[in-house]
Amino acid sequence: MILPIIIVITSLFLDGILSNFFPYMINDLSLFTPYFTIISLIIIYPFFQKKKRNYYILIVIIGYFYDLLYTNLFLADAIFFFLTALIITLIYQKLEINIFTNIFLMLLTIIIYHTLLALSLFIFNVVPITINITIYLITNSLLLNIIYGEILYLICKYLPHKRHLN
Amino acid sequence: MYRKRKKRKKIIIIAIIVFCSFFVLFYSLSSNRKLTTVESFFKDAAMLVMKGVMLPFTSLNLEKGEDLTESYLIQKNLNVHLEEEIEQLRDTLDLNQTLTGYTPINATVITRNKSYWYQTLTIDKGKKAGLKKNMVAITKNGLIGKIEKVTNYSSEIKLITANDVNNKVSVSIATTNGDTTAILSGYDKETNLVLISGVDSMVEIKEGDVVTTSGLGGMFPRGIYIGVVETITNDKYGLSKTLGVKTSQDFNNIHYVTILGEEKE
Repeated sequence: MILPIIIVITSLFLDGILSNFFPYMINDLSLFTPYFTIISLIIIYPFFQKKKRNYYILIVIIGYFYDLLYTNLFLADAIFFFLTALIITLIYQKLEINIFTNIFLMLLTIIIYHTLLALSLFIFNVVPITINITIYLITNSLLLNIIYGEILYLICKYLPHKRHLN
Repeated sequence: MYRKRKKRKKIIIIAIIVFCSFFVLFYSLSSNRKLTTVESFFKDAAMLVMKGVMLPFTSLNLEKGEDLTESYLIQKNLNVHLEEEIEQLRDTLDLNQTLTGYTPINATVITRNKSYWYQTLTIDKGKKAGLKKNMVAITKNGLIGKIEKVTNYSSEIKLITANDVNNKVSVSIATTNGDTTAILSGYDKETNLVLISGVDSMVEIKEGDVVTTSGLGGMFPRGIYIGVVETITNDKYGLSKTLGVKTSQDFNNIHYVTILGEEKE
C-alpha cells in the first residue's frame, strides 16, 4: 500500500517541478510535456487488484490535490482521473499486465485525459478549443510520459515487494 | 424481481453520479468562480508543501558558495542558472524604482497551470502580503496579466495570452499622428502574437509602433509597456484592423513577477 502512494506523490511533485522548466506556451511545447500523475495511475493499478475501492478513493484524492496544485479547478481533474481509472480497470480486466499493454494504456490514458478536458471546456464554452491544438497537446505529451511510465513499471516489477505486478 | 430492482437502483445511482459530475464540472470550469473558505485552506496548505518542494529549484542562491559537487559541468550549469537568476532579480529591483505610484510586491512563481488552455501562474504571495483580485502583474518586460484568484498565501495570475472572453485590456498605440486606443482581446497561438482587434482602419498604424496600457477601464494603470506592432491585417470589409503585437516577455520563462499593489497616497 505504501509503494503506490509513494509513486503517486512522487509523480505529482515531479509533474510540477518539471513543468516549471519546460515551455509553457501552447505553440512552444516540447516533446517533454509531463503528465506523470496520470501515468502513475496506470502503474499503481496492479497493487490494488483486490482492493479496487481503495484505488478509486486514492485516485479521487490525488485528482483533488492535482486540481489544487496545478489547475485551480474544483474536482474537475478528480472526475477525469476517476473516469480514466474506470477505463484502466476495464482494460486490465481483459488484458494481461505486461510492458506492451502498459504502453497501450499510457497512450490511451493521455488521449482520454486531453479529450475529456477539451470536451468539457468546449461544452461549457470556457475557452476556444480547436481539434488541432488538442492533437498537438496529445502528441507532445506522449514521449516523455511513456518513458517515465516504462521506467516506473520496471522499477515496480523488479522491486522486492509482497505483491508483484504479475 | 430482486435482480431487476438491483439493476434499476444501479442505473439510478449512475445517473445521479453523471448529473453531479456535470454540475461539478460546470461549477469548476466557470471562469468567475470564487474560492470557498475550505478550498482556500486546502490550497494554502498544498501551496506551502509545493513551495517547500520547489525551494531547491527556485532559490539556488541558498546553495551559493557550497561545493555541491566536484563535477565541472554541473558547477558550470549551476553558475549559469545563478547568473540568470541574479539578472532577473536585479531587473525586478530596477523595475521597482520606476513604479513610484504603486506599492510593488515581488513574488516567485511556484507552479504553472497544467491545463495549457487556461494560461495561468500561481505565485507565493496572497492576501497576507496585501494582494487582491484584479491587481496587475508585470515583469521588467512589461505587462503579463492580472490576479484572478487570491488565497491567504498564494495567488493565481491570468496571463494576457489567455484566450478568455473576460480577458480584455484597454491599450494605447503610439502612432505618428498621436495615440489611439483599442482593446487587447486575444492571443494567436500560431504566431505567438498578442492580438488587438477593432482598430479603426482610418488610423495610420505602422509596424514597430509601441503598445502600452491606456489606463481606461480603471483596471490597468496607464503606460505599462506591452509590446510593438508586428503585423497589421484589415478585415474583409476594410472597416477595422487587427494588430499582432510582439511582446518582449518570454512567457515560457517567468520565474519572478511584480504585483502593483495599493496606490500610494
